[in-house]
Amino acid sequence: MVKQHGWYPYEFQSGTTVAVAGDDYVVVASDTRLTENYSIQSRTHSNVYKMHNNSLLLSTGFLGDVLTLKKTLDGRIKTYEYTHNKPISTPALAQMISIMMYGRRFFPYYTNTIITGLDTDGKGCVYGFDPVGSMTQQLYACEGSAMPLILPILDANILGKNTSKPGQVKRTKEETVKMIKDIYMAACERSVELGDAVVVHTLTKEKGIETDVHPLRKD
Amino acid sequence: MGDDIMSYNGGVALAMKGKECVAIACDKRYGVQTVSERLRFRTNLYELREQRKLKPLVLYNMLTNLLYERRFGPYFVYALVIGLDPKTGETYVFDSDNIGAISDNVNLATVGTASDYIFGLGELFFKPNMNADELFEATSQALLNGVDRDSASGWGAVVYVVEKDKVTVRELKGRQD
Repeated sequence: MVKQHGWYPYEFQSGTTVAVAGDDYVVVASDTRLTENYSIQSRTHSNVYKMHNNSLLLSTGFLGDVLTLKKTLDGRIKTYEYTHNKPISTPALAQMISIMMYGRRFFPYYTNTIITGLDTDGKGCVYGFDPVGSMTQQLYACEGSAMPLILPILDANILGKNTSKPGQVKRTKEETVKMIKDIYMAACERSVELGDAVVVHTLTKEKGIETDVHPLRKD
Repeated sequence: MGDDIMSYNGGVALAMKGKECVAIACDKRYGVQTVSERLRFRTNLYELREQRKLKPLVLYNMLTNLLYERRFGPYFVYALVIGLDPKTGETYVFDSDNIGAISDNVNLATVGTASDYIFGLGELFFKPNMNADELFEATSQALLNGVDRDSASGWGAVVYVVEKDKVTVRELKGRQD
């Protein structure tokens, strides 16, 4: 057996993010455990980043790329605001991220990214991206290490899948926050990379960002 | 989720415990032939030789034994064993990997290509001491919503609910893609 040597530019850190858009709110969440190869790097690291314009960036994957993406984006947002004399809207920010990421088509940011915020009418919006910048607007999104455990729960709860009356289930922001906490408590029973705590942010036009931290199991 | 060959055919199964009832469910894409035939052969022999029905724990030990016999050329199957003692109402749910690793008697077990998707749902829907109807609903919802996110499982499902005096088999319609 010949041992293959090589240098690999990426690592993968854990982290699981959820975003749910409502009529007049957006709720996002992230667990605070950061792991790499079964060892815990942090119990307090949230994958939610507040952007300058009151959008929330959720990004997991290779933390180095997550932070670089965020830093570059902060610069781009400032440039945009100096150029156009107005804050960047969340849909425009999403488009900007998409272009930035596709610009690295052949050496991608190794991240699973979601951007959320309120549109000009105060309605919640969620945009999901793949690592090379393909973008979709979604009702809800989930990315990161425990995505397989959480995504079908959101399908069932939000879209009412496999019920006698399928269709979107409307929730208040308080109900959404409770739903997300319940989901994280369920998921942390079965994922070693998810745990410690879940941070839930609620974004509304009236109150801005409200933050709630809920403890999870720490083993 | 296992070796590539373990997801050659796809398919998934799920088992959950209730109060004096237990449910097992699977999708309808895949039938495991050789292992089930050989296990049937051994259980028949056991019942003839011992002149009594075999208990869930015996079946489970038989299965893991059968699988471990092929430790270095294994069958490419995962398995679940469930049971209910008709006298005491005690319930049994066990799972096994392809080489017969034994498990504890658990509340919830799922194996197959959609198991990650189902585990999240299962943990959310499982409540201790469910009655047979609640158990059926929880099991069905976990299975159907789970297989819809997996391209290698689906095509409807079969749910067995075992109670002290009866076994109810229900076929569920699901997405046909």
